[in-house]
Amino acid sequence: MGSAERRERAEAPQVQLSAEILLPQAKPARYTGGEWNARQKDWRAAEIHLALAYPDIYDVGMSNLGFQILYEIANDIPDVLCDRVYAPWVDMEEAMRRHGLPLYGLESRRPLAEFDIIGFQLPYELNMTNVLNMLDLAGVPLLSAQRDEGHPLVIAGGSGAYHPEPMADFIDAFAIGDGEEVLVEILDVYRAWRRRPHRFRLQLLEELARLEGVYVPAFYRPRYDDKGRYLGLQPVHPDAPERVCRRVVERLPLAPVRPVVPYISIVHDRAMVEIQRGCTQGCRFCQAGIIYRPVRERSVEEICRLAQQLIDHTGYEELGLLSLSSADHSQIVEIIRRLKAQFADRPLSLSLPSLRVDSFSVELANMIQERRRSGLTFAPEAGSQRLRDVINKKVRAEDLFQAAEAAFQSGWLRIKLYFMIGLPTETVEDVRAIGELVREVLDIGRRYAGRRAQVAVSAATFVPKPHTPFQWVPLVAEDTLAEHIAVLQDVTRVKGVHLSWHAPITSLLEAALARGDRRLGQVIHRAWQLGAKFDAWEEQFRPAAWEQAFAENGLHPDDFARRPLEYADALPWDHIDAGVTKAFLWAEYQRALRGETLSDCRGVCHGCGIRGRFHLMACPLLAEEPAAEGKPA
Amino acid sequence: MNEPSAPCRLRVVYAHGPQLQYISHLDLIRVFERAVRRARLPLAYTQGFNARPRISMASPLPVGMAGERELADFYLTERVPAGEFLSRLAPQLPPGLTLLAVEEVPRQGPSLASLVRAARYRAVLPAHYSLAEVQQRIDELLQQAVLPRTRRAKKGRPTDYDLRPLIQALTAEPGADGPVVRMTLAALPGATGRPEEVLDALGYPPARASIVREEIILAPHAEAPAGEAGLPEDVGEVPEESGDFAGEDAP
Ligand code: SF4
Repeated sequence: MGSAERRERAEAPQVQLSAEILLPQAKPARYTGGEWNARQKDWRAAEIHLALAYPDIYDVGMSNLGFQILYEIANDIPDVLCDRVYAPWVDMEEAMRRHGLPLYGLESRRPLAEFDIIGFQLPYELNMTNVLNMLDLAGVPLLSAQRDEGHPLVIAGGSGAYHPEPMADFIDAFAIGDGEEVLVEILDVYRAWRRRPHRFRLQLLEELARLEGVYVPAFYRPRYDDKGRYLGLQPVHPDAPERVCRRVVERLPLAPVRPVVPYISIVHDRAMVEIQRGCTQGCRFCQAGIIYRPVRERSVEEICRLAQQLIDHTGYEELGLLSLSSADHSQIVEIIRRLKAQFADRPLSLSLPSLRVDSFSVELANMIQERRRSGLTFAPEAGSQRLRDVINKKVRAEDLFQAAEAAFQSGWLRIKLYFMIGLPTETVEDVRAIGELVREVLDIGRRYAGRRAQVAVSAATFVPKPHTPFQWVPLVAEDTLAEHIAVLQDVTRVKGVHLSWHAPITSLLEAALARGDRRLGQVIHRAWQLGAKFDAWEEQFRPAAWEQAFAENGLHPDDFARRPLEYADALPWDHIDAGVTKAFLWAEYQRALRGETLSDCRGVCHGCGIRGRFHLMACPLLAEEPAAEGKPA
Repeated sequence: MNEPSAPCRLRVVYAHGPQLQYISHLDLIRVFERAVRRARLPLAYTQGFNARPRISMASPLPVGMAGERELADFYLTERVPAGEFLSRLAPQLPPGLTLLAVEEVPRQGPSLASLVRAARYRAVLPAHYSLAEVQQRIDELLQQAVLPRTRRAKKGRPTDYDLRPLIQALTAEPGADGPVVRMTLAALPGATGRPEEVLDALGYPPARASIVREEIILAPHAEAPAGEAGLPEDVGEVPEESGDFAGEDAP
């Protein structure tokens, strides 16, 4: 039996990393583990060996809060050994292949193929080829259908699991939604399966498919019409539900308070407390705004307690208060006041990402940043009021100007503004309006800071994402995009304004992978064979490999990225139930086309479906706090 | 600057083990900083926008090398007895960092880096190298009056220099894993001998050897040039070994 064979191989020696391999690397400490709070468990004593895998480099993966949460939860189970692995950067990969080193767990230094389960976090479309590359470096067959009882179970979660079809050929089971509980259930199922005298992989997949929130793609068959249009997925196994409903944890779990502290500087090198999950703003382009519903606030007490433990256990000098829209937390002022008082005895900076565009947010920024007021970031997303109504970004020009005024007045010198180009219904006039906003903000800055005032404009191409009201919208046409970018460059050519925009070259691929169906598996596989990896890294992106991969499979990225869709069309992610109804998303799309906004649902529920789907007592789930009794900061 | 906010200066002797040999100098300062913070010891910070911890290292340890008796000065905002500092910090250090000794030193004294005079290294060569041949090459090398070499900087121009005067001692002896080369190399501003350069000059590829810095040799306090006492501290200086922040290197 395959797994018995693997048990023996598990005693195989650890991977040996020599100076010859590590010294030439840009940051060798990415590959050596042993960081503070990394768990060192006994390989032989553990019953289940889980490798959490992140398909991007260490610096990015280590910054991911979800990854740290799952690492801590899994390792807290006594018989589970959970190790970490990140995508080796290209120079390390080259050295590993040259020396015949397999991909390994950072702490155990065991080859990945010796683990029982490999769990990928899928954060983003453009990491898909890295999943294949990592499996290949591990010596694990890429295709789920090629793996047997002797191979690790390969599972995946994260926001990428909400549109799993492009990766369906490679992943045995997807976990949809909040991972805290379902990971433990998957491990329980695995443990019970392992203890059986006779084990068949099919049984394992069947039992996984019976778990709420787990999608086993092998139990479904896609259907297409004779023109190659996708018609939907057919369950072909009795254990496969018609639709897989995502998991929701109603109360945010208390984790993690012992995150792994890196040796090298990483993207977000700080302690993180999730103060709220979900967002009620209702921006129509935003996937996170849908798939993390309902809003669940963490209480002030709990935030302060977690923060204390985190800082005590890590020694971090910065604490990030994480959420999709920090200023929305009903107790945000109290949170900041209490934390400042609590840590008054040591230098600790607080950071508050994702600020709203208003003067209240500037006040919050002023509270946490008393000394170093260099740059503030706002995201109006669109230039004209009309287009902001379309995308339901509830920001008026006055809000932006007031925020800018408040910011420059209190000593900030640089304001960064985020915009999207290629939004539905966008015209040249809408893009020109960006120029007007930017110049007005700069003028306000000049009034307070003179020549030192700066405005940075950052523009990204809008990519339609599944489970959003804009999931039916085609990606903007190439010539329109080029025209709009040219206009944007033109209207922001002002001294004191700096424009940066994301190269649109990867947007087509991103849109195709986001909206694609199972046929993309072969394309991804072929593109990887032709050398594609790290597609999100501009200098690594290989458009020719992708072009050839699409062509060889008789497909074109436009078939997925730019195909106009109707309500009646089957969508490749229809079988994933995010809790928000398709009817609500469609109604939102229609309101968008009419230029109608929808208010923040903290005030009034708009019936998106979440509350009923998960039988919630209330929505949003606010932190109930006794009357504020915090000490002055 | 001897900021009044740091009334206590502790000199720490520590071992930097092979587990941590791949982290850069700047990373190491951060590791110490976070450990001190976890220990709730009152670390002093520089003033200004970008407050940095007041930890000064004697001499950056090159990436890929272990150090047996490394030196650092920690500045604190309150007096902490040396023994207490050691017992509180030790449990907060990751595997690979071991505190060997802590002593209080006068806070007004010259910077630690300015006291460094030399360092002793030990390089273990692969077992198939013959000791006799190593000894012969050493003898030949030491007979040279000059050893012109070019230092390849990560960026900027390569510089020509003479390695010979930087070698204070160079010997070989048998070892369990292969011939051992011991050397004492000068370490002064602008005149620092590197063990890899010596191995290379001997004709041995440095990447094959495992090199350990055994000790950093300081000038006796009395010998410190009088003028140096008032020199600004090199707090958090950025040495060329720091792979991380390339582009921000201090001159
Ligand atoms: S159920 Fe109502 S309140 Fe809850 S997220 Fe949906 S619209 Fe908002």
